[in-house]
Amino acid sequence: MSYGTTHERHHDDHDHKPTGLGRWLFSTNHKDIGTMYLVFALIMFFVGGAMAMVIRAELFQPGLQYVDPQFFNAMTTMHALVMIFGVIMPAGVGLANWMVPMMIGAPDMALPRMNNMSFWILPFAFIMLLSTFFMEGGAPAGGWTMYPPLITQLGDGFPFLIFTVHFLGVSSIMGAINIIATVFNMRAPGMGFMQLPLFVWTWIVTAFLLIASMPVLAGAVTMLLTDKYFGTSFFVAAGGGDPVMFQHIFWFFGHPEVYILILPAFGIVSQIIPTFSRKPLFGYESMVYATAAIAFLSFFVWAHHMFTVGMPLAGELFFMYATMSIAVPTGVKVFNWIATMWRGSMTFETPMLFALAFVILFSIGGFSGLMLGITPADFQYHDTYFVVAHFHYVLVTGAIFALMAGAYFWLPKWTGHMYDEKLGQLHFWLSTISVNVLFFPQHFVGLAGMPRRIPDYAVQFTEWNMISSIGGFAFGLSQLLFVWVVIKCIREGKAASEQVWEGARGLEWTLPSPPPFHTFTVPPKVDAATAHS
Amino acid sequence: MIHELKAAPDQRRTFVIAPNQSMSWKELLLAYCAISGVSLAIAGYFWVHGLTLVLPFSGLELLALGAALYTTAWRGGAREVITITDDSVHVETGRTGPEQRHDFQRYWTRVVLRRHWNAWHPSRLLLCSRGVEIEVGRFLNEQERRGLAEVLRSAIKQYA
Ligand code: HEM
Ligand SMILES: [Cu+2]
Repeated sequence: MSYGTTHERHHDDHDHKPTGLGRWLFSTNHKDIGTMYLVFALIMFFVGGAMAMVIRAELFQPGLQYVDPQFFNAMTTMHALVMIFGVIMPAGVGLANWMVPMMIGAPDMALPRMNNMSFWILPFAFIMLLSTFFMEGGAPAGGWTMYPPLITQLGDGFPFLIFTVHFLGVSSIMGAINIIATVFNMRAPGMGFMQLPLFVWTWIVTAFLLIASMPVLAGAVTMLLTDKYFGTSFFVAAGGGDPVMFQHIFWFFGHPEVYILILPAFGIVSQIIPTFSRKPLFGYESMVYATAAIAFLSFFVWAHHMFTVGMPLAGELFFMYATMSIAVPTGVKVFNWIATMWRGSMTFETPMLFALAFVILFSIGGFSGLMLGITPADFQYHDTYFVVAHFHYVLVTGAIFALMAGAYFWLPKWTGHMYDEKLGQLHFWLSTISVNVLFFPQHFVGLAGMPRRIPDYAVQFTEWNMISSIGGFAFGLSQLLFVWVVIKCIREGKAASEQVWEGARGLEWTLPSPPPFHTFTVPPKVDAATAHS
Repeated sequence: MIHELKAAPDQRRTFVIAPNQSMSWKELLLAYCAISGVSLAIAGYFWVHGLTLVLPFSGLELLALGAALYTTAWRGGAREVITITDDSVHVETGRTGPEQRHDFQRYWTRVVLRRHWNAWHPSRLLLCSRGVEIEVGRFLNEQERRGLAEVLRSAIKQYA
């Protein structure tokens, strides 16, 4: 009997294609789940974006135009919750799901079924959160930071808000546990910690941050719940509690949370810049240590969000200096990115453009952060549009731009097609110009004293607000182009090679994109000492 | 991971297939204790300040983390040993020792790599003989599994 022919016949064995939703609902495959996370994030990006459009429409002119103040405040609150927990975090987890197993040579995530659960909690939680719009008392409107006593005045939506936060927390924790278990246990032989790609490193550190900070948030919101319904007075002054304690505990979670949002972005950019500079990353080890240092320090700066509550002078000073010190490891990172490009043979495809814009614009956000970290200055800036400008530079041109860069970078790997480079670059330029028109003027109105979270404003702020709104609408519309590029890339496009990008290095680029069956020739890793010929 | 053991005098070839297991149980325990230490210190700090409801959540989370690390470490102990002798192919699966054993006649054994209809999903590597199919290398990554298929094919037909 000839083995050869028998094998050939079975070479093409296929499983049968299941139909319907079940394929997604019960999938435990890391690529399916990663895709679902990313699609979910993209949908929520437009849900949160629609809220932002309402905000910018209302703020186009002084006076009350379209919505009543309560609804306006619901918009700012829900916009933040959706963008943070529904867009940036799920998109980061989606990328991790796709790339981490491939980057470390693992067949899948360590706990595939838990992976499926941690995704499906999300749509459920957000349906619950969005349903509060239709409840007595409306959607949460006390700010995403949920400070008592204001937030406890929310109507029927209150317990739903709290449970949403719990569900989101459970989902993130499961994601973090999965990443830790995967990277700890399932690295391929020879893939030591100091060989990990930076994206994996930043995700490991992010997972530690999640593990350390999420129970604090869960505890904080649970205490709000018991204060309102079960007669405790953790934060009720009348019962001997202290509402300021909520701010401490919230920001003890909240500041690490902002690094949970940005560290994976650092990781993405650290993969992209070397690829398009055709040079290895400058200072790999210092990047790893800087990431760890940022994460560590992020637990000692929380009170820079509450300089104005009246802390002892020593406290104000401690948190000011601690905040400043984060600029050091952050500076190391920016230096390394620039040094990587130095004398590289650079090209400027869409992922690189977004990564470069990230480096520049994120740094602007970092600088305004430093300004806010100066205690006496923050007494002026606090709760103004200057803060809004700061965190949108770090979150939109920071986190979102890095996620966009990552999407363009890896889309060919995922779909097997190149995206339309012309449209990608058009999307980049439209986004980059409009986002600056949108957020840069907010520095000016902020410094001039315009408060945040207010539907009306004094007439001298009108021009910059109009400009900001125009930028906002343009930015919103530009993102529709991104959806089109993605759809187009899924359906058609030049076939992507395995390596996709000339300068790409790492395990994930040696796998076919997406693996065609017949061309595979790489032999298995057989232990060198015992390998046969 | 695929290891080939040194050929025994009777010309056998033996492949040992194991999942990646990049941290020892001891190292895992150490890491777990370190993570728990940090989380419990934070929860304890808030407890002392009267914010008692952080600790229960930390506890739940650490239980889940422990369970996850234990489960993955346990799964990492799985082994498949494929032995090819002059006229037979044996597949032993188990953890510390063989728990299940399949014997095939070498001449009738085929190596089948069954591709999933969706290119994102892993293929399955089957040893088939006379209507019996068993799957091997489930815990390998795609690259390794495809390589193993090649190696097994050539090994099985090598001296036939
Ligand atoms: C050099 C680094 C940074 C420094 C020194 C810094 C400093 C500050 C300070 C002092 C505030 C409080 C302003 C106020 O309310 O008066 C603030 C607010 C904020 N920062 Fe940063 N920041 C930095 C980086 C980041 C990053 C990387 C992110 C997120 C990716 C971020 C997100 C935020 C957010 C969301 C707020 C506003 C929270 C709110 O009140 O709703 N910051 N930052
Ligand atoms: Cu902060």
